[in-house]
Amino acid sequence: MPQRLVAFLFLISSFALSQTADELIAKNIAAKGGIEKIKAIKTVRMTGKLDGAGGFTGLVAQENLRPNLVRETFTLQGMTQVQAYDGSLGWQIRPFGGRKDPQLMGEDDLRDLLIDADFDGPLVDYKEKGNRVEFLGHDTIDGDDALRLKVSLKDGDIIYYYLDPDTYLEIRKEVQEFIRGSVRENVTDLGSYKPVGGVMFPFSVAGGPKNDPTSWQNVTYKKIEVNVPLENSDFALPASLKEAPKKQETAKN
Amino acid sequence: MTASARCTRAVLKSLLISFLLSPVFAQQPLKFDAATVSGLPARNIGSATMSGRIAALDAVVQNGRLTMFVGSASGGVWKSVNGGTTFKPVFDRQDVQSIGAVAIDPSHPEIVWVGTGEAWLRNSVSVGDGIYKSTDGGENWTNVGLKDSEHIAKILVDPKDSNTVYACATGHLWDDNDERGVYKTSDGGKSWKEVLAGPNGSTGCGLIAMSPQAPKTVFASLWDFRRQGWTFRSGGPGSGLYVSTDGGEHWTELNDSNSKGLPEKPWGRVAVAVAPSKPNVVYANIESKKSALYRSDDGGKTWNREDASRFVIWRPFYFGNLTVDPKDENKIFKPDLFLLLSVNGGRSFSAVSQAAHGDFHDVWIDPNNPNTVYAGDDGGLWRSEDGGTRWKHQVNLPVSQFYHVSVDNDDPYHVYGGLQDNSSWIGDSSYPGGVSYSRWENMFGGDGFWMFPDSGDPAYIYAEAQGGEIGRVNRFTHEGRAIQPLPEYGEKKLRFNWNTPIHVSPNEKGTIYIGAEFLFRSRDHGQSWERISPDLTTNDPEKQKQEESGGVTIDNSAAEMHTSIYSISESPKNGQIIWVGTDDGNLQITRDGAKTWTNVVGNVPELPKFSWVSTIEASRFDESTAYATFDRHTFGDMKPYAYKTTDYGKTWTALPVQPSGVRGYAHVIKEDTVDPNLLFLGTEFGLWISTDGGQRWAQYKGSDFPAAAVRDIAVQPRECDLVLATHGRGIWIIDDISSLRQLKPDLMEKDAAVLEGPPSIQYFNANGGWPEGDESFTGLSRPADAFITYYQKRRHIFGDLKIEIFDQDGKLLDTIAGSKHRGLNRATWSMRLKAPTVPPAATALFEASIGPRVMPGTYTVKMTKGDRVYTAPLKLVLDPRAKFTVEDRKAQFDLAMKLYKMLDHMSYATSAIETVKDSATARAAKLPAKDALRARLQQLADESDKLRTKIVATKEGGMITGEERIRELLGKLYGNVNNYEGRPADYEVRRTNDLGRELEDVITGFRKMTDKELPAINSGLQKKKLEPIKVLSETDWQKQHQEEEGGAEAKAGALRQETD
Repeated sequence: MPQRLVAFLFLISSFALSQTADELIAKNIAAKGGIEKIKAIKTVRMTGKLDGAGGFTGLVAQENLRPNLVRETFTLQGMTQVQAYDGSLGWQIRPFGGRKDPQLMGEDDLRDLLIDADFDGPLVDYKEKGNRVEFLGHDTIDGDDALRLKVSLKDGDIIYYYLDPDTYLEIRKEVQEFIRGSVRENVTDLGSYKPVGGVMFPFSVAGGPKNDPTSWQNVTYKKIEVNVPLENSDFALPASLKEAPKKQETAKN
Repeated sequence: MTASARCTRAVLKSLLISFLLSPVFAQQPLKFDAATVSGLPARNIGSATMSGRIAALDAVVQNGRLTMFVGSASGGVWKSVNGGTTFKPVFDRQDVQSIGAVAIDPSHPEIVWVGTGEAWLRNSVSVGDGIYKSTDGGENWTNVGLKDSEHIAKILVDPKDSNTVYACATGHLWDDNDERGVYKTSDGGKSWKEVLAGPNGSTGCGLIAMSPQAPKTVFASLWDFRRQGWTFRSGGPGSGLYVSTDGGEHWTELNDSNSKGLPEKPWGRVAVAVAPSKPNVVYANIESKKSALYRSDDGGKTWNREDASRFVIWRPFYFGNLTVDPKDENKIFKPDLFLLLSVNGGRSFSAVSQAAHGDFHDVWIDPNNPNTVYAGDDGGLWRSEDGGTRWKHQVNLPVSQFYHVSVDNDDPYHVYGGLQDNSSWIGDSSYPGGVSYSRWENMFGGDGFWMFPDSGDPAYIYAEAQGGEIGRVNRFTHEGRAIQPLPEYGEKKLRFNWNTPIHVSPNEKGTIYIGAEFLFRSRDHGQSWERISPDLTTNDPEKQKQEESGGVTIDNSAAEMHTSIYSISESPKNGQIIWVGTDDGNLQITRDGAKTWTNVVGNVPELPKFSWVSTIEASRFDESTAYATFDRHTFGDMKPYAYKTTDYGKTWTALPVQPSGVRGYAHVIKEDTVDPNLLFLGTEFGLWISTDGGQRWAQYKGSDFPAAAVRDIAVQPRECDLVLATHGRGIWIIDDISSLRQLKPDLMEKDAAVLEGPPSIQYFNANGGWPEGDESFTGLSRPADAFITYYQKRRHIFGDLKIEIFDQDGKLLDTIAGSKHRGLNRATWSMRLKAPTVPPAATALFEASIGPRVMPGTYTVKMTKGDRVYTAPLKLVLDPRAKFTVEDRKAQFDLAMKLYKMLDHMSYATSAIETVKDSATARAAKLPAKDALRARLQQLADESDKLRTKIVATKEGGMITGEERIRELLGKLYGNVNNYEGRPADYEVRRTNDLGRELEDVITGFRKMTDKELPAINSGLQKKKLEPIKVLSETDWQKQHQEEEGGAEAKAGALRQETD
């Protein structure tokens, strides 16, 4: 093996081994703007365009309110699908088939939303949230260098984060959701970071099922706003669903 | 620009400046590495139809669910958590893909052990690099040692102690080594101790076994063996059977002094198994002069000779395994040519795998339900639910082991290739709905190798089985004939290699070559053969003793045939020049049409003698140039060797593949069809690419392409596709590699560039396939979108990376997202305009959810990164398969656009009507109940709503209402016209006009109504100091609509009222 290759591999491995998960998380948080600025954000609104396969497009929006409320919309032909989580229950309106009344979300549909509901993401205050993080070392994405973190969420789901080794920002995440013993895997590539309220947000989010890149969707956010006026009521279960069970349990094994 | 936007931009700019000034980006040398070339995606088209050899498997039932790990011979580890309904590869990040052993820790099933390097040591076996451990159910792995073992047959985990693990290291196949024997770890893999070693460097562990009821008692066989390119030896002084009763600390060889009934030495390979339910019952299938299954009922002290029928003792080196039922000590599976089953303690066996492929290697029986049995063979994984009588093939493991691949020029083109023990197949490179297993067709038999369409008659193909058994087969009727050249009077059989080369002349249609020790040529489809060379090999008689091959058991299957031709290449520039490489190290050239031959291997510097010429590739650009790869793994040297000559072989230059970090012995080197400096190198561990004539090499790692052996490579010249034949993961296609041709220093020095590619084809819409459930593998089809390929010197992290498409008039058509990583990137564009506007109604109008596809022509791609702009033309062309003309296409586009505009117009009309209705309703609400104006307003609202319901369907509820109004009818028509891009039917044109008139009728009615009613109503409103009602103009609507489109953020707020 040539000396320069040995030296390169040594650098990569020693660099990788010399860091801990906590150090990487700290660098990631610092790269985003620091914990104070992150915590200073109380609400987020993101609006943009979704490009699906074959020329299919729509408008998307996502609103988050601390600590774990989220509302996501997809608009097509003047009709808007809503999926929201009010901190304990997920509900949705799916108007495209002719129903505009809200319904409770099924467990399978809710899982992605629960991950999106975590306001700061699972790396921030991960211990307090009951998450576990391991640094798995140097890795590659399509041949390019990355640092790989494994985050085991409190509920058993797993997220692998790939950090750019130069900036420590996330460039990919792979989500494994365990649903009644089966696994659903999604990949998301993150990029085009811009600061909003002093915090770096990815304005480009592309992803889909891990084993089918042809069905990936690209979301390009046109605007991300922070600390917009949002209330709990904006996420609350519509009145027609108020008779539903108070707490939605998710079965995991 | 607003203040906040300026602020944002300023912050971003400062961040970017500080970032760019950081040492990270200070004057880095130009990188040419995996990231540079791996941004081009690859797609795997399988197939799982024939699947591939499964070497090992293990499973566990937890909470009623079956979790299984399947170790494939050369395609990694696959995990299922649903009893085999779906599998996913879990070993793709590792450096090797050959698996010899898989073991789930019985007491902690999340701990999984894998021994790399298959131990069923056939001629084509790959190699591993030690033992891996996962502590999270196979998601992540750590290499924990025995890195030089190359082959591992079995791993046993102490069921009572997770830290105690035994490894059966079979060791090197082709040369001596030390790291072989039985190894034990007592600390969970941190350290390994060799607890049983053979007496010489060619003896390793054959198999180990224990009963979970008595884990301190371990049986192990040692196996003395050696394979060379020309012979195989199973057996020798090192072979024997051993037992330890103290957890591997001390071992006793079972021989005449301490046990009775064992056969006389010498022995070959011994398969040993202990009955899980009765630890004293031990079986040993012993290869000896009296090969048989032996059984002991007293823990190895005495042995009875049981069945010795043909297949019980068949090919022990390849079928060295035994599985005893977990509960019934008398029920034994013997994996062999067939899966054999004994239910009487080994006295007799029956073949129970009639409908399965054959050549079995491992079996797993559900301990809770012995009716459930899984078995792996050369054709993949099989499942039985009746105890092993009937079998279902798992067609979801694309671990097929191709030796070679070729392509035709059909559209979509087909791929042709032969596989280990899995015949020769034709597959679709792409198919509507995906390349499912039914899109592959078997054309021959035996092991498959080279396979080509007959260039002189595309209705026929050439395929072959092992040992040069070439046939010519009708593609459609499957009528075939054997056309193998035969020996002449008095000659022994011709020496055809196991993997005999067939070569199709690039200059003469219908001319083919095949090589034994002589080169043969046929110009009449195999009706006759000319012997056009003398013996081109070393003709070393010491390497021609295949009849003595096998060791204790004779085994002369053509796998060891040697001193034979292995590679042939006629110069595409000059048909008089033919190159031949042999398996025993000769490299021959003729420049006079085979009249004279010259062996030029002596001119190859620093190449050890007798190196296997794995590929000789005549350049398509220069008749004096050729490339050669040499494979020395049969001498124990796993390094790659690649050379180039530019003077007909007089001198050779070593291509610096080893200094470039290329791993694995080299199988193939291929020149691009356009760029003489673009080379592809396939090794046992992957694909490497050079864009500078072989001076620098970068490993391709796109789309999680694993470290599978790339045995052959084809470039489909029309599509610029690179087609990879992997030996373990099927066929992979990198669509459109033309950007690699542009990857030169002047480009790579740029910060970024959009690359002009070949014209993008507007493939016509087609549907195919059918839901097959989760239990089958379907390969991806070629993308239907236009490729936009661009280069970036570094990963794009901050700020927008915007890709816009402009038409010939400079009008912006679309903005698309692009990937961000370093090196080549690929974005795709649907080639469609934005979707038409559709008025809201009861349901979405999905037929109108995409826009018309733009006309063929040249467009402009503009990529903006920060303040830098990069452009390139993008040419779009009709599908060459289309039966319609550009004029037809224009007629279709025009009609689609007419419908598109009608949908827009309808949306305006609906909006105008709804505005009047809403305005009237709102104003009426402000008036007293008995006010006459209120009644008139209410009537206006009602009449408006009636008009609206003539345009759009309004019945909600989510059921199939069947309600169709102009919107729904127009949408369906638009969808049909949009879907087929030939000339639209007359009735579609007529219907368009009719619906247009019907829409205008409604609009006219609305105008009449508002013209009649609004003056008086607005006068009344004015008297009551209320706002007059205005009819929205189409111009205002368009303006309003464009603003809404531009401000997507409005939707988040607008929605709120709707759901509250």
